[in-house]
Amino acid sequence: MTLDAYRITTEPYYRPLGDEIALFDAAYATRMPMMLKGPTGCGKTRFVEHMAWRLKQPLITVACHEDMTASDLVGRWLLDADGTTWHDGPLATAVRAGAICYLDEIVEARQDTTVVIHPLTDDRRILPLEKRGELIPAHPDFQLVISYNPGYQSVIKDLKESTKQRFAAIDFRYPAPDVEAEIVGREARIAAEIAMTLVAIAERSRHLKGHGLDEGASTRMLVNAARLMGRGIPLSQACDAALVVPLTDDAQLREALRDAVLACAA
Amino acid sequence: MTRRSTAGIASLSGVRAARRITALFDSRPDLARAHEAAERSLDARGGALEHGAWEEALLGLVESNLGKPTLLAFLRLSETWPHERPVTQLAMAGRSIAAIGREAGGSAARYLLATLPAWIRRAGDSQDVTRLLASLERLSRDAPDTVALLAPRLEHLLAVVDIDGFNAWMMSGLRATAEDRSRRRAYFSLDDPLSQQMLARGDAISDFRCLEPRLAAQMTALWGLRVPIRPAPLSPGAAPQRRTSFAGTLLRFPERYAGAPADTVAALYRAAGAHLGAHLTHTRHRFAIGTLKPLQVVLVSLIEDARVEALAMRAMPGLRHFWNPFHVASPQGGTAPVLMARLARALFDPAYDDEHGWVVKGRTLFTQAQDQWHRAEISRSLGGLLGNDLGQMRVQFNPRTHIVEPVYRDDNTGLWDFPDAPDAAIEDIALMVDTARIERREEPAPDPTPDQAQEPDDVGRTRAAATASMEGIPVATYPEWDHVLARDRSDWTTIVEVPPAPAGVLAPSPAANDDVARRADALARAASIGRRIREKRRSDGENLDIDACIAAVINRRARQPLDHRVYLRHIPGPRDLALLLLLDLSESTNDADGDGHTALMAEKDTAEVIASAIDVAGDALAVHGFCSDGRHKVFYTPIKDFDEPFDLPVRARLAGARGGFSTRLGAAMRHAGACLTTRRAFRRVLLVLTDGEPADIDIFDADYLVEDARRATQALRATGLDVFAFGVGDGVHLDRIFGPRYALRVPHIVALPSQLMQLYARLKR
Repeated sequence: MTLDAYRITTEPYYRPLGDEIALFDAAYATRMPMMLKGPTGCGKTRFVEHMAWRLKQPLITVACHEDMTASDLVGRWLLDADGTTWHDGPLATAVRAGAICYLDEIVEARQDTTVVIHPLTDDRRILPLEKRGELIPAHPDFQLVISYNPGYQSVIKDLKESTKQRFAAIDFRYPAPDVEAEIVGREARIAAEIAMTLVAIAERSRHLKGHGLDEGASTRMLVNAARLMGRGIPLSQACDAALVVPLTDDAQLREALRDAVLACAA
Repeated sequence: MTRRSTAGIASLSGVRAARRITALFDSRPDLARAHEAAERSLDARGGALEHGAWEEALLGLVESNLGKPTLLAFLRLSETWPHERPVTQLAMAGRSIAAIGREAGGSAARYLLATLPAWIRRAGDSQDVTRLLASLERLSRDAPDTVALLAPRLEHLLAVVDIDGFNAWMMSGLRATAEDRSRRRAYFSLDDPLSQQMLARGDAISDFRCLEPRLAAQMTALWGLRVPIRPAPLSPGAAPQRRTSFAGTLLRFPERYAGAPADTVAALYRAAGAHLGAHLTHTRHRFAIGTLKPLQVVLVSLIEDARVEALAMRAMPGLRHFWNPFHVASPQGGTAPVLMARLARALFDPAYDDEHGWVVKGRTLFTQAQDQWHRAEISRSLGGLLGNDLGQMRVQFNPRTHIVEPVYRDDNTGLWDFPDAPDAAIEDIALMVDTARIERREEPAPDPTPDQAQEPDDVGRTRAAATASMEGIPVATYPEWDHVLARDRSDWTTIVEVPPAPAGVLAPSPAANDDVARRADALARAASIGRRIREKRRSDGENLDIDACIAAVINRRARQPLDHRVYLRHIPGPRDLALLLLLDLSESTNDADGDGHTALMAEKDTAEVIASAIDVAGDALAVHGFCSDGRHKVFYTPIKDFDEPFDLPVRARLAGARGGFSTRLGAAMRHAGACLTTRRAFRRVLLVLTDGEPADIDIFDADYLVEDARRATQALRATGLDVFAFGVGDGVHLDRIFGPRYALRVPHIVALPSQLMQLYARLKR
């Protein structure tokens, strides 16, 4: 089986915030399962892509969702002309062929789904396919990475203790203002002072986290706003389209966010 | 008596009414004179149809037998009826007041008539007047004794809320105080804190209410501040506050900015909020008044306003757009208020041109101190200096009528430390305080209200009523388990249902609770409890549906069309949960810990959070309370029934719940269980909130009631109920009664969401 489609050939831009690259390198050397924590849009996925590129490993990404079942991860029986045939799911593919399997926003998945990764994440490194009666030993290159947003909904959706304790974790935060401005400026190719203004606006919106907003404006949103501005959209409209309207449907909160945009504009 | 012509009346019934009135007034010269004067005045305005309606209304008043003073009041009112108001409104008011008078008596009618010009002005158009009068008629039918109390306060009320808000307030009041007359009187004379709160938190709409969430969010977003925002308090009769104010971190906004054009209201509140935020961020200490003169106090405040705004604009240059539109002073005029507004603008707006020597001096000094702006002392020294200069210019300044300009700025009370030292020159200090507080003093205090003399008595009666209200109705008897005999004693306990204690005051919840409440809401909404449904023959699913697969293979062999829907999946069914929250209201819940918090307070907070979360999620919920006084009196209070919404009156009822007597838990649980079993739901949950273990005055065996409650729990579980307990406060051991997995401890409200999550997790199985 070839996973060439999953290989990343050009370097994804990633601005290190600390020693996370060295840490991940070390963890990969022992194939230690990794957990990336942090708010949405702060660069977790970009980091995994960057590391997959660095380590020259294919990367299989699964975006987890509420209705995801274990079958969606490991595979299922399908009906074809001659009866039933087995199809590997993304996790089984990565385990067989050797890839970094990245389960994005793992808490979104149902708790009974997440337990299928347990035998893979301790020293057994196997994936039992219960429905097929098969046991797949993990390929030497296989590594499991999950991401997890310890955000607002974590009261309802939390990882089981038995899942949590299998991972080493890197904590991601929004970068410091000047670093964030650098990232925004570089990704969207805009002037530094515009990037600084956007970062100031984002900081204001992050004050509202937990007080009306589940999450403040992410770095990703800032890049979006900056890209719109790069195409000639004025600041207030760009922020409206890229930050204010996506963040909330509450009319009053939107007004407050627009106030913040106006207040930070020069 | 001369017979006046009825030429000015167009309707037949009107003419008849006029004739009849003339005949009736024949023997009462003062009434006849007043009638004639009123008629003359109305004739002069023309409008024969309206005049007829007026005569009919007057006849209605006469026939309602409300006494001569009432009639005279109406006639005098008619004579002086303002020209811009249609006579139909007067006739309408006359008819309504006759109807109200018939229910509530002549004095109520007179009070309404006496204050009518004032409040009718507030009501706006004719439709509003009609609705208002209809509401008052309804009030006179449902609570006749309150009309006279309400009349003098109507104008003030209508200044704060519109007609919808008034109706909402009135209906809430009637509901909340249904069984307590003295409470009702207090409510409608605005003396009851609940009344103020209803006015403030109910459906009343004012500009501030509309913008409140936005202002709070703005405060958090711009300044990272999470501070309480409240409307300026209402004091009956006093003029509404006209500027914002802050005390510590409590911000108060006027309900309305009188005279602000509708399209600038939002911008004005935004500017006011930003100004307060700048103060909270940059005004670190209050100024001591010391020996400053009133003028100096005002100027120090002015410089301080300019200073915090300048600092805020360094961090957020766009704030200038917030404040700029309100600096409208122009370089003309020389009175103190005008000069101060000019100075305020000069300090704020570098582009503003003003030649006045004092303004120039102020601006120069302020700009020179640029490097010192982070120090509040410069406000003090600059303000003192400029105040001195202005004083020597001999301009007119009256501290009692001074109002801070521009309009978005606060009244500066939050900047000053008012000394309370008795040996200082008291009058001076009083004046200082006045200087900063002038705005609330503009109008004289209202006349004493007609019922003030009775009030102390009413308070006494309220208390008496509260203690006597434990007289309830026996509704059921239940057996009790005697663990020594190992058998049930049949019909051993009697449940006495008592109405809820008088509604209490809703304390504003601490910010921490808001957070907990928000999380609990999200939790309850996400955790839908219901039967899981297995869906067969789906085109997508976790497993193959074997029956469908076999059918599909048979079809294929028979060369028939193939149905590809061969999967099976499980999906959650509709929400189906009924929860009864049983509150322990025994005496022990009144014990305060070191900080003065009682278990009862914790119980109420917890109940409030759970109840609103479950209500928001749309599950069925009831809240009941209990305490006991021996086995024949197990008091049981329904605070909220399943079919009631969890709205303000119910919350007030919950807030009013008080602790007393003992805890016969088993009996109360059996009754709660009986209430629950009548509900049809997939999951029926009894959740007991208690601070400790059961006890009662007639029981000396410590294990007896514990064993009984355990027995009750088991019996209820056997009937299919889920029984949980939340132990509020520290060191509560409920494991023996409920089982360790079902007895969850909530030592502090912050722990609530996680415990609630556990509860839901167990219910999901």
